[in-house]
Amino acid sequence: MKKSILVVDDSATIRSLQAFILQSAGFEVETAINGIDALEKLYRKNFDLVVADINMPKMDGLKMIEILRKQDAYRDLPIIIVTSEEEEKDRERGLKIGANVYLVKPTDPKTLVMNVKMLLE
Amino acid sequence: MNEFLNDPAIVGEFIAESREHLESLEPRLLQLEENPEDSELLNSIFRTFHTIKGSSSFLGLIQLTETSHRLETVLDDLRKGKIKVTSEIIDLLFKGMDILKGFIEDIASGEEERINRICSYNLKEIQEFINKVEEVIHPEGTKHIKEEKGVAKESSKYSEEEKQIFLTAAEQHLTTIRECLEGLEKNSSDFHLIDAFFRAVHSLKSSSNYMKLSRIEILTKEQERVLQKIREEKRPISVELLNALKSGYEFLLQLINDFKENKESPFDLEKSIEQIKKAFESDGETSQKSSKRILPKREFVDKTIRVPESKLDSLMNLVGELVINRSSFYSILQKLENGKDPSKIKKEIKQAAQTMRRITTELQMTVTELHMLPIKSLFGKFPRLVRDLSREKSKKIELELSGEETQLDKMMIEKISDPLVHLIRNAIDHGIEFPEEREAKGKPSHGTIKLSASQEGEVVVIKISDDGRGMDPEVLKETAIKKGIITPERAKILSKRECLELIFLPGFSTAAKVTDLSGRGVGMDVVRNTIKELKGEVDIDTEPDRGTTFAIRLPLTLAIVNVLLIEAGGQMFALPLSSIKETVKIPGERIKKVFERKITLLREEILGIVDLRKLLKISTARDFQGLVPVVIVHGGGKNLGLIVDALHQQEEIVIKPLEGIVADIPGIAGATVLGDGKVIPILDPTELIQMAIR
Repeated sequence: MKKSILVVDDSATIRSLQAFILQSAGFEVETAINGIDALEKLYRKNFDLVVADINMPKMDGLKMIEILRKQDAYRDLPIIIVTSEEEEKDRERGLKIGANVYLVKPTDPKTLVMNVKMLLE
Repeated sequence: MNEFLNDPAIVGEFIAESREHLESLEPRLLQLEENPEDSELLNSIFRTFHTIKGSSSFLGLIQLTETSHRLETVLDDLRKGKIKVTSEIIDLLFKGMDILKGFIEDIASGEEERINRICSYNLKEIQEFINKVEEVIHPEGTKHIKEEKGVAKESSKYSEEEKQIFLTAAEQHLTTIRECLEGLEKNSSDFHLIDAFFRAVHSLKSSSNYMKLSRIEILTKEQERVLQKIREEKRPISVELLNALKSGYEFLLQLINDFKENKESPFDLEKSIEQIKKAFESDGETSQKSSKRILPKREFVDKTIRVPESKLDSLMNLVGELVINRSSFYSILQKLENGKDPSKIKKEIKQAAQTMRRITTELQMTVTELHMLPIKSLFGKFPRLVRDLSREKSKKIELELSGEETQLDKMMIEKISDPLVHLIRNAIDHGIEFPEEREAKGKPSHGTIKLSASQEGEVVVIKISDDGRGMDPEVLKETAIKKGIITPERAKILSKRECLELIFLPGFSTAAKVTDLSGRGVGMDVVRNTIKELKGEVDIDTEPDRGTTFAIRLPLTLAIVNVLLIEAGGQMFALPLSSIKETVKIPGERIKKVFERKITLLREEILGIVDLRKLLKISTARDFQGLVPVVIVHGGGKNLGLIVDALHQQEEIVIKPLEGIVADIPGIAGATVLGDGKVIPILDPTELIQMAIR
C-alpha cells in the first residue's frame, strides 16, 4: 500500500510542485488550499502524513495543527511544516504547537522527501 | 512487565493467533523456495511477520518484536527485489520462524522467567540471529548492529547530504524534547507536553530507523514506550522518571553528536535503558501493584480445538431431543405406577426406546466427529522436515502427500506423529541414496518419499514409501545374528517377512555408523510399540533398489469399536471387526494336522488354524465334526483361522483397559460391558497369532 500525504498550501505552484516531488518518490498525494480545507479532507480520509504551509487565508497552518493535536486521532499524525518564516522564534512556535519537523522554503526535493520518509519509517 | 501480559484473554488470543500464523507459515516458506518470484506469496509472508510484530510490541514482548521486525525487513527486501530468494534465506526465515515459535511457547508456559526473558533487552541468541539477518541483507557488511565490548560505532549507508537532512530534523526533535523536559519540570501533568514529547521521540525513532542508527532507535523506542503508557494512563510523570528521561535525552544528545562528528559512542546503552525502565516501574508501582502477579499456568495451557458452529448447534439439538425423550420415559413410568397393564403400553415403550437409540447414535457420531481432525494437520509438518533433512544430508528428495483430508482421531494424530517422523527420517537417512549413487543406478537423481493416508472401512491406512535402496532380508538377518539378537539356527527358518520384522526389535540398527538422524538402535521398536498402543499395526514391504513401504493401519477412533461377539468354551469374547477378514464354516474333515499344527485349504491357499478354546487354555483338544465355525483374523501381516463354538451378533462397544493382576493376560486387549451388564473380554488378534506360532 502506498502511503498517502496531504499537501496543504495556498499557492497552486507550490502545491503541484510538492505533489509532483512526493508522487515521484512513490507516495499518493492529495492537496488542500488552506487549513480548513485540509481539516475537512483529513476528517474524510486517513492520511499518513501532512505537509503544511503556515501562512494561508481562512485558517493558517499553525491553527490547523493546534486543532488536530487536540483530537486523539490526530495526536500523532506526522506533520511537516514547510514555510518561508525563517526566524528562530517561528520555528520554536511551530514545533511547540505540534509540528514534527519545521522546514524553511525553499526546500530542495531531497530534503522534503527524506524528511517524509524518516517520519514514515 | 506490560500490563496486557497479565490479561489472560488478551494473551490467550495472542498465543492462538500467533500459533495459527506460524503454522500456516511453514508451507508458504516451502512454496516460496519453489516460486521465489511469487509476489502474492511474498506479501502474505510479509503480512504474517508484520502482524506478529504489531501485536507483540503491543504486549511489550521486545525480543519477539525485534525478531519479527527483522524477518519483516528481509521479506520487504525480497519484495522490493533488493535480495533474491536463496536456500540460505529460506533457512534463515525458518530459523526465525522457529525462534518466534519458541517465544510463543515460552509465553504459553505462563512461567515468569521465560516471559521476562522475552521482555528483556539483550538476548544473545537473538542478537546472533539478527547479525546473521544483517549479513544476509547487507552482504557487503555493514555491521552496525554488531556490538562488541560495549563499544559500537554508529555507521550506515548514507550520503553526506542525507546525514545533514537527518541532523537538521534530529536537532529539531531534540529541541522539542528539551523544551518538554523543562516544561514538565514545572507541570508534571501537562499532557500536551507529554504528547509533544512523545511525537518528538517517535519522529526521532523513525528517522534513526531510516538511517539505520540502531542505538538511537533502541533508546528512543524505550522512551516512546514509556511515554505512550504515561499518556494512556493519564498520570503525571514522577520526578524519578523525569530524571531518567533527562539522562536519556543526554544520551541521545551525545549519540547524535557523535554521529555528527563520526565518532564512536563508547557509553553503555543498556544502562540508560535500564534506568528508564526502572524509574518507570517504580513510578508505576502504586497503580500497577495489583496487576503484578504472574498468570497462573493453567489459564494458558488449556488446549483449544476449533469446532464448527453447526456441529455445536446439532449437539445442542440432540441434547434437547434427549431431554424430551427422557420425559416420555417418565410418563411411561407414571402409567405403570398407576397400574396400567404393561402390555398395553408396549408400543409406547418401544417407540421411546427407538427414539432414544436414534438420538444416542447421532450424539455419538457427532461427538466422534468433533474429535476427528483431517490428517493434514499432521502431514503439514513433514515438508519442512524433509526439506531440512535432505539439505543436511545433501540428498535430493521430493515429498508427495496424498489423502490429507482423511480424518483421524485427534489423540491418534498426536500420538502417531513421532513414529511417522522416525520413519521419514529413516527413509531419508537409510532409504534414499545420494544423487550420484542414484544416477549410477539409472534412477532419477531426485528421490521421492510418498506419504499417503486413506480410510478403508474401519481403519485408516498411512503409508510411507521411498524409492530408495530398499532392504535386503539376508543383510538384516546377518546383522541380527552379529548383534546377538537371534541365533544362526533361528535365522535359518525365518521367512522373508519375519526377517523384515527384525528391524522392530530393540537394539537393531543397520546403520554401520550412528548418525544424528537415526541409527541409534532405538526408535523402530518404539515405532512399533506406539502403533500397538493405538491398536494399530505396521507392515513392511521392500525390494532391493526399488524402495521400502511402511503401511500403518490404525483404527478410526479408540473410543468406540465395532466387534463381533463369539463364543468359546461357554465364554463370550469380542473380536474387533477391523481385524476380521471373514467368517467361514469349514467341514471338520478338511482340517488337517501337520507337525502339531492344524491347517486347512481355503480357496487353494493354506491357512493356519487354531482352536480358540485350546489357545486360551479353556479346555483340551477335541475332534471336529460337521461344519466348524472359523473366524479368519489378520494381524502383523499374517492370517489365522480361529475355531470358535458359535458366532453371535455385532456390537458397538467401548473398550475399557484391564488393570491390576488381569492387565497382562496374553491375547486379551481389554474388556467391555454390554448393555445387559455382562463383562466381555476383547481379544487381541495380533497377540493371538503370535501365541499360535509359538
